[in-house]
Amino acid sequence: MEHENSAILPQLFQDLVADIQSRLACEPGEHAHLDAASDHKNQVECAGDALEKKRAMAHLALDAFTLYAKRRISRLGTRQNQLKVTYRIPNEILSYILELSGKGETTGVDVLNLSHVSRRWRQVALETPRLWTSPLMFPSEFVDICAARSKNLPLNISSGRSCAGRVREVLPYQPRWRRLCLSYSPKDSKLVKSFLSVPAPMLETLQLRFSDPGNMDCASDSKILHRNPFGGDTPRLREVFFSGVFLPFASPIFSGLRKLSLDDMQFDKVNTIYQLLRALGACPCMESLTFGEYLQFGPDVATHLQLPSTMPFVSLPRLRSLTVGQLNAEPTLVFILSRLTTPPNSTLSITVSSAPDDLGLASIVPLYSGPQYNLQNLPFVSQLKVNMRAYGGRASCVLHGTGDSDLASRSGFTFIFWMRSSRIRDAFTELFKALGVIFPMSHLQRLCIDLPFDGVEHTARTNSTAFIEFLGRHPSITTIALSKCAPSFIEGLIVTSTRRACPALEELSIYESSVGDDTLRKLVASRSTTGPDQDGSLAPLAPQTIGGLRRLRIVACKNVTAEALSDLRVSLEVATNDDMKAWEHTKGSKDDWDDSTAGDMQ
Amino acid sequence: MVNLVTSDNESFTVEKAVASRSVLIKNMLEDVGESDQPIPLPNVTASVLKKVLEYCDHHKNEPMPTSEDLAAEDTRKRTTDIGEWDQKFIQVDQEMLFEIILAANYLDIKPLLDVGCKTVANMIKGKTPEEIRKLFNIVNDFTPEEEAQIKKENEWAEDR
Repeated sequence: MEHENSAILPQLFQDLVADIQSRLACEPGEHAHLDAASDHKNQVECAGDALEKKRAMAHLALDAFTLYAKRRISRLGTRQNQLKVTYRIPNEILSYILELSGKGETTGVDVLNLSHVSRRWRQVALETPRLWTSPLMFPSEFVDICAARSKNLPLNISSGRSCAGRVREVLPYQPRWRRLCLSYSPKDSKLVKSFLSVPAPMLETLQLRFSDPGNMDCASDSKILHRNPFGGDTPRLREVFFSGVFLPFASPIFSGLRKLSLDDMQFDKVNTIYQLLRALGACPCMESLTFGEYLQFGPDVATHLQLPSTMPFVSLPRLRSLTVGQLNAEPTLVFILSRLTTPPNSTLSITVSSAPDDLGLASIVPLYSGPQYNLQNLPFVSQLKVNMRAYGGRASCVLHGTGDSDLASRSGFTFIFWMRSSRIRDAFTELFKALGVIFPMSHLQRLCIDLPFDGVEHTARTNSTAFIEFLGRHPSITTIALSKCAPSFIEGLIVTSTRRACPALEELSIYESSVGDDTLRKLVASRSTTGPDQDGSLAPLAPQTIGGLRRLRIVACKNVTAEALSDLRVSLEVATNDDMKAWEHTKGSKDDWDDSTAGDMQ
Repeated sequence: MVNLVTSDNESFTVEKAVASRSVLIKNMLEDVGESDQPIPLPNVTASVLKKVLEYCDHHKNEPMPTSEDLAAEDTRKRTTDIGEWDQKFIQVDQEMLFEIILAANYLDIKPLLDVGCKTVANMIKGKTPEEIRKLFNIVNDFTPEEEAQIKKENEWAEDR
């Protein structure tokens, strides 16, 4: 290439070598040593030495020139960068951008990369302390550098089970820990105990997950991990998540919390339950409370639980979410729920893998004992969706209640539980016997029931009796959607002189039912406010206390004839498979509640 | 109405509610009081101001963040999520994106500054230094000494 043959190169190089030689000549010690050595060698050796010396000089010259050129290139690059619009962004804004890009799913390499772009980016990155507040994201060699770059900001300490021991590297910075998320195994228990022994003044979030199959050494109230964690000095602690770890609830660390999640723990002492309730009482700002499905209770705990007269209800006025998971229905958890007062605008979610057949809902939710139900979000439910399914001799039940948006925008509940009922209709009967009795739902307006029991016999009247009684307890219902329900359910809605279920019913949707023309004619006639048809086929049986049924949707009901539908249209608005679209905007859309309940099941 | 004059001497007449999304302009209006005098914006060109005003007009009915809000804002909870309209709005070429950021900073429109910064943050997230350089046409200007330090840091990272 042309530039490699530049005529000035030999002279330039010669001058550079000469310059280096003259500088080295100023260092007499080294020079004298070279000269003295050459006196004792023969001529050939001297020539070799001289060449070697020249070669060394050439290398020095090359290094000097390379260094010079690189620095020059660096300076030119900086000047080039300064012309770009990106470089007109002030440092504090670039710092903010870097901080934002270091959020979320970010690795240590990602953060380092931000400091390896250019001189300016590096300078700004190193002066953005928030980028460096997670020292364990970086390799061990980098932890101290990272802690220094984070200035005095609180640190996030997060470590997986495989490298829990790395927490040792950040022990010197313990007073700065803000968030500690640690999964650990028995070999690291001593380490965990060591940092639980000193105060954590900046700690806001504590997440400890211990796993050692078959060993509950740290996860039982008989064998607690530490008697006085952090010396009780965690003034900023707001979020605690424990799994497989038991710390005494009498500790001050359990006060002022906003989030608490407990799982994989063994409660053997009744007093521990009382301590837990007292701890919750010291957390009036609690927003999220979770009891995981692997909480276990000793055989004596439930039997010895009593309501101490001195113990008031635990009021959690700011609670938004209460989540309970259970493998088997646990009376102790029901007891705990019975002692909590939750606000109307909160949600309660309960999942039980196995509930007793004879109790069902009563085994997972505390019984209403007036004058006001303590789980205040439940009575505010205005829409209830019931979805039952049968799988291999077991019945799953999903109850999803949502509140009226005007009353309490986020109120509601989701109960998912399994029963070992051999006959699905028994499970259904038990459920509807309990609904509205265990807890009141005086605002209930919309009811959706989905019973896709393919091949399961459910025509017996025992099913519908419990259902009709349930309707009788909820006169405020205005909308009902029934999917795959037996005709006896629909018959239960016919108003007679002795039965006036759902007096406010305005809309009824029936999907995939074997209901026939006669039942529908009777139903509509009994609830019609338009008076009899001219041919007298629809007798006006409705008592004055019954409001008029205004809309009826019949979908995939094979036994309903076109003639009957035509007759019914005289009295009210009727939609069928063909005119579903016209109903899409109406309340109680099947699609709406199908999607929702399907989501719950998943 | 408020009359704004850009660095390239173009005039924009906009509603006071729109112009007041800029804390700089809002303060100027409060200081000056009712006046027909145009407000000069020597750091903003017409093309950029047009975009900025489009943003301000869309958000004119939203409550202004108070100084207490900004002070209390928990920086740890900041995310890089951007609203749907804002995402479409900020789909501009890189030059304009940075000009909008600069203008938002100058005019003190914090929400717009956030949108711009989040957009750039999302652009660089997870990228290698070389990819970032290529993206923004930045030259690697590290000195040999800095290169050596970076090499060392990369070796540490690779050893993990």
